[in-house]
Amino acid sequence: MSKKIEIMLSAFLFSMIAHVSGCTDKDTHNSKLQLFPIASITVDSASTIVSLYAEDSLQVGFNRLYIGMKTTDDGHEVDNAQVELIPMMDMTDMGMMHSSPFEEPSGYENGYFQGAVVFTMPSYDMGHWTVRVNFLNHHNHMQGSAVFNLIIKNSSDVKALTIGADKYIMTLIDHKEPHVGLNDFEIGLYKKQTTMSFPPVTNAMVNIAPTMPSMGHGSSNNVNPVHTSMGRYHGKVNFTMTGDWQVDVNATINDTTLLSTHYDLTVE
Amino acid sequence: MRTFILTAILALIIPLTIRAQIQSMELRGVVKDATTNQPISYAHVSILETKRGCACDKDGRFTLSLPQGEYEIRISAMGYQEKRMLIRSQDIQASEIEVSLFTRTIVLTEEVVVANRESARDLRSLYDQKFNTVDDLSSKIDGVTLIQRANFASEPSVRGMTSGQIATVVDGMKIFSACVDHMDPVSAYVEVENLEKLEISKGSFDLSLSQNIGGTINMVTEKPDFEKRLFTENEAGYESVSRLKRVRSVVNVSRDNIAVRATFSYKRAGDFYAGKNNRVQRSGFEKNNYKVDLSKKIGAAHKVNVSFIGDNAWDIGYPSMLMDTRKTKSQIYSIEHRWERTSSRIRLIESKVYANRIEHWMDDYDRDVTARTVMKDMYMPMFGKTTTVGVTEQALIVDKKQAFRIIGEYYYLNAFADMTMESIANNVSPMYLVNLGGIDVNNISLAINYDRALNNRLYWKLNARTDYSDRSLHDKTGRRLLEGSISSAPLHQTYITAAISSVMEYHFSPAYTMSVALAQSERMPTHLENYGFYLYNIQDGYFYMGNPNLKPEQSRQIECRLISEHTASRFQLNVFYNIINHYVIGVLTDSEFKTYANINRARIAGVEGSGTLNLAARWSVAASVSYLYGVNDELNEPLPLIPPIQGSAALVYQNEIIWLGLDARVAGAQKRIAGKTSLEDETKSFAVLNMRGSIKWNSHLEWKFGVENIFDKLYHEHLSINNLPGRGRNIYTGIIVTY
Repeated sequence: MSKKIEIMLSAFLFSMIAHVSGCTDKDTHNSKLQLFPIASITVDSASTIVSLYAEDSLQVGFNRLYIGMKTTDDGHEVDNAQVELIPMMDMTDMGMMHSSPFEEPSGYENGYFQGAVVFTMPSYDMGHWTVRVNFLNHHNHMQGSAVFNLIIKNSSDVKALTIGADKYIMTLIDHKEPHVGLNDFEIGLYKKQTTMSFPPVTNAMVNIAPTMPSMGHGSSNNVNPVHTSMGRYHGKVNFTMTGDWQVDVNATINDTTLLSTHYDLTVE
Repeated sequence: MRTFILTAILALIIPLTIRAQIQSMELRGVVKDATTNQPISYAHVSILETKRGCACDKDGRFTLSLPQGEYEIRISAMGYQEKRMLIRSQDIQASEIEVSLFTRTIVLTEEVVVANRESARDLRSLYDQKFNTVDDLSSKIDGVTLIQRANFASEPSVRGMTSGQIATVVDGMKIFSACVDHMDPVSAYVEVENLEKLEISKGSFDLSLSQNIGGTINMVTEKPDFEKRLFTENEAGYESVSRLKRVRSVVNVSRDNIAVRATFSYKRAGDFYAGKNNRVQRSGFEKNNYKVDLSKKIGAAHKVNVSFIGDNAWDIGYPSMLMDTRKTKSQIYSIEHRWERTSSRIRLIESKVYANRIEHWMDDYDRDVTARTVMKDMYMPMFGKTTTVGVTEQALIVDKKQAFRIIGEYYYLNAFADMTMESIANNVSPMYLVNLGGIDVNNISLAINYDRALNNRLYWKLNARTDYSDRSLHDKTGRRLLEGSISSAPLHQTYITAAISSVMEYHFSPAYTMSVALAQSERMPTHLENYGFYLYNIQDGYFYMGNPNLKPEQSRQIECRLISEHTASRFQLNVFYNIINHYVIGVLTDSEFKTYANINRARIAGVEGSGTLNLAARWSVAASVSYLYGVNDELNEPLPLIPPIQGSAALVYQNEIIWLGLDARVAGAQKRIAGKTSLEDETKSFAVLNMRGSIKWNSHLEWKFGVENIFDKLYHEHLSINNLPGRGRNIYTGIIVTY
């Protein structure tokens, strides 16, 4: 009972404070995104500073990239531009280069142009990841490009499988802190057409089954992911306790299995 | 061996039957109506020890000539509640005693009074043994069977109904077990020396204390006695079957308007032995219990009582379960104000505030987890706690031919339970889940009891009750877990239930009574059935998920009772039939989980017969038999945990010094088992013979003793979980010192 009163009281007090200081939360929507700055490059030829941010340090798997731009002369934040991403892995030891799946920035939101890259392998001594940002700044009508050198840490988010001549890539999306109960479970599924082209697979059937190897049981109430957009499949996974879980994922098209793999997740 | 024991029993009995000659005294009295103060004509007075009696004259007066000594007399009259009084020759004055009788009301509860008091030694005293445990008490009532999981407090089943279908309360206070695996029935937190009596109402014909469909067990605690200025009772006892040692102590002090009663007990048991010397590993325990009561009279009508019961137990072995109890702790507080005036139309107003908290820790650190199939290679310590706070208010209004009792109650329950799973493998992260996610239950109820004497032979009782309950979860993890596993159910839930019953009792004569009772009642799901998460049920081997959308179980019941009561005998026959709709059971959701769900219908029918008969002045026999039939109509199979046909018989000898009884418990085979819904198997029939006795050496010293399971039978009860065997031959003894 007292808890309810306490909550009501604090809600009341909070509303008082919010009323008094009603103007202070104007710019909080930007700080909602706690972004991790990667680098800023000044492109003199286009009088534009291009800054790259991510939600965390970059790693193998699905990474959202945020691009902020300012014009150098008037310091104007660029909110109208055309932006392109090109991820590239240069394996100098093997003498080859390849790209990876990515999502083009969709538009300007909250101060950034937001896209995503699925890094398919980690950086290593002789292998360097870059992301080239091509832009057309509609504010000063200049275009240019900035190339960011990136260090990509390893993870086990990306699974790849070759079926005959076809190679498919699957990645987990946003599983940073799985908690007990129902969690969003999202994967990205892409086909490797060439070393430079990874179109999304949009017509796969994806089944998931979480299990706990140490307990020998699974959970109920899971929702198999279905395609939403750009090769992303969204479903739900239910973790009935903390501990080490394994989520089996199986993707098929017309009963042909593209990928059958599992992800190991530790639920805190 | 058998002949030796029987000879020993007889050798003990015979010398003590000799009794000294005593002088006689004259007892004169008058019997009056308590409400009108008018004399009652032709009331009957009988002396229970001697079976002698007399009738009062037209003006309610009687005279009895008796040898000197101590007697219990019973005063009865048509249309009035009988009264029993203890008469001591030294207390008899020249003047006559005055006895007030109240208008009769229908009493639906049966009670077992704790002995060791200046108790009635009438026919029912067959059951007034020197009880060692609360289980001993409850098992003396026909229709009550104990679900055994250990050599420790058992969970009572009343006419085939358990847990949420029945209620166990202490002085009417709601208390909820903390363990999600039923390892701590409420009776585990109360000891015999705390109690005055156990009141049991079977079925839903008396719902004054709780909303349910199966019955209420009320553990009525003993209050301070203002008559005893300084009284102490100390007992030390031993039981061979588990090398149990016990001490218990009671102190009662009173000065003028204040009285204090305190009890303390401690017991410790090792592993017990089943019949044929089969040691049951990890079945010991250690326990202490204390109770303090302070009573104060204010004026003639007011009384305040403050009460506290504390109970702690450690290392309780649960051989039938996967885990053992590491520790339990309970605290029960109450303050009660009572206003009582027998001459007034409003006779009683009682207010009570109470609070209690139970904590229960269990684990399997003493088990070989590599050798089991369930939760293999995993330790799983579990914790549970409940906190209950409540207020009750009741009033009793009595008129000449009618009585009206109204009871209002509010209580709040908070329940939390969690578990950790620790793999013996190093590379596995520990696992954690919340079994009961901070469940909040707010419950308000109103119950009324109306009694009316339609005429001298026909009585009517109406009982009605309604409850409102509001439930939700506040633990974040608990909410997430439950929300994740039950699809689209809102966790917040409210219930309104209503129950009504009507009882007609007809007296063919003072000796023969018949009653017919009808009831329609509902019981809300328990907080475990609503919100439990991952509850392991050893009875079917499944993990259970709660269901916030459960509907209340609904019951329609009928019961007929026939009672014949003479000075020297008493017989009773109960026949009942109970139809339960929305019966709650676990329904498979996948290969290892079940969810609580309502099924269409279950039915339970049964018959209970009991009788006591005084053979001669000091010898009496008692026998009882009961049979239950339960069927799950949806699955067309028997209900689980239904006891087989069973009975008991006892032969008792008693005089002022010695009390001696030989009793047998016989249970038939149970072949009707719930094969689809439980893992129970068929149980063979068995018979166990016990001998008990007590000898009062003088007014200060009493020796009690007994041999249970004399022939050391290896057997198990049908209601023993995982066929936990019953105790083998047990020789117990105790010395009671009273001052």
